[in-house]
Amino acid sequence: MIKELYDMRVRSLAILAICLVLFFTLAPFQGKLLGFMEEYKDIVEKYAGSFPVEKLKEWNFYIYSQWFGKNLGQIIPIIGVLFAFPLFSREYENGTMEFLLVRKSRRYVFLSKTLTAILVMAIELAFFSILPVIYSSIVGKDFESVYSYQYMVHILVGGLFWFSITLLFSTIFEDQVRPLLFSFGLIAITTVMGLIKPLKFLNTYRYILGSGIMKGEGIDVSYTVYLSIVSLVLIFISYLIFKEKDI
Amino acid sequence: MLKVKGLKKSYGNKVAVNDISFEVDRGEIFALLGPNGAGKTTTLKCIVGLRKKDSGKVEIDGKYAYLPEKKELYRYFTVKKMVEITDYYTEEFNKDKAYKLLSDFQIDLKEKIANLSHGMVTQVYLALLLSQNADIYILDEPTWGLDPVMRNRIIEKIRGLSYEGKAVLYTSHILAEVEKVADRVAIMSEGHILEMDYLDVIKEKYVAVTVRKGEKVNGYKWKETENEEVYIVKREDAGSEYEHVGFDVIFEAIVRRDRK
Repeated sequence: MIKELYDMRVRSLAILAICLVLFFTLAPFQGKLLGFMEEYKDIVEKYAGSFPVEKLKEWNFYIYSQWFGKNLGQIIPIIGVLFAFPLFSREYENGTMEFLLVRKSRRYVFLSKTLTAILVMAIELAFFSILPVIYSSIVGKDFESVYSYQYMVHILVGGLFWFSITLLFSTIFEDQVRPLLFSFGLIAITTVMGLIKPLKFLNTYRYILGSGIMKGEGIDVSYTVYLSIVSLVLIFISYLIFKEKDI
Repeated sequence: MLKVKGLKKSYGNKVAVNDISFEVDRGEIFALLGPNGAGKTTTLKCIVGLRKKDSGKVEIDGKYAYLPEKKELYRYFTVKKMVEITDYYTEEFNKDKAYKLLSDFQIDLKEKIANLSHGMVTQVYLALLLSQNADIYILDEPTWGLDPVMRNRIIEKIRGLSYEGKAVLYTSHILAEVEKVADRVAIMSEGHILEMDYLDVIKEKYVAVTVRKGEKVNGYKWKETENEEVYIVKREDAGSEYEHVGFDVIFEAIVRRDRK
């Protein structure tokens, strides 16, 4: 586990830094954004469509729609991919998997790599989910935090889903590029196919961005269960592939 | 210590290891020899479980330590960190012994693996391996990329393992080195073991006979001139006129498998 933490320190710190930058270029600038929108009212109204621009004046709506529904939400699948893609493929590519597998069992290696990455990813995603709560209490904004925890569930499950898909590619491919390409390709394909009504369940962004939460519908339990089961199945298949893989 | 029986491994239609069997005893140094693609590395990888065998049995009585053909370590670690990581992952690893060996090899502990030459990485890998207490050491080309002085030092250390009662299974393409260190050898080609015995016995077993072109001989053709052919044959098939040859000649003739 120590090596795994060492391996992912650059990635996890980079993701942390990027998300903090995204948050702090958003949260402190509500007033500036509203001023800008007032200035260009005609253009904003023309392009905003059905989006309730006026509601952005409310702190809760502003943070939920812009942080969870936009900045953070949009990069959750990418975060899942970034945490998973090199876990096994980098060891194959660099020829270091042999070093591990003649010292520890395949089960140990798989579990230590996978669980360490999931743990670090979950801590970061949970932190990003409660970041608005922390920030609001520091700057004295009145914030309804209950939705944050509902979003946290969607974010964790959505992140785990894309992590598990990429993990599968990482156990299959012996280079680091293909797990990345296949995962990003799958994100694009499922998002586009999800625009077709009968296939809308394929679009995980609908779930991760949590539009239902903002409408007061709470956590989407059935989709949460569905994604969790698929994630666990994918992780198990990844293990079976790794267990039988010729190194 | 190690028993391999009927080991088979294929990659698609290509048979890499074809029904080979051998044993390595305690205190013995057993060398697997053969040209590139003979199946030596696949055999070792099947023994340590890195590759899944198609059939056959592998029995290891005790703990093993393995040195792979490609000596790759974590490039972003320093040598010291690599020792610590190895200590974390390896049962019965002696950190002090590793530091002592690295010091003997004049490897700077603060240096990053990425900055070491190929030969130095091999030395680090060997230091880590020799600091592991195992019953059998499985070494794939342990001296590849080392200078002759270092190669001799490593050969001494391998010999030292056998004096401590450890078994050693290793591959090498440097025949002079094999002659120096191995007790028994198996000569592999195209997945088969073509010859296996004590090195001295093999050297005694085969001789060279020169015959007129086209003459029938039960042996391996080694070379030919305009009118004559030279065969490596078993001494009992050689008749009265023969010449003793070196192990390198016997090896070359056998792996060419140009047999009559």
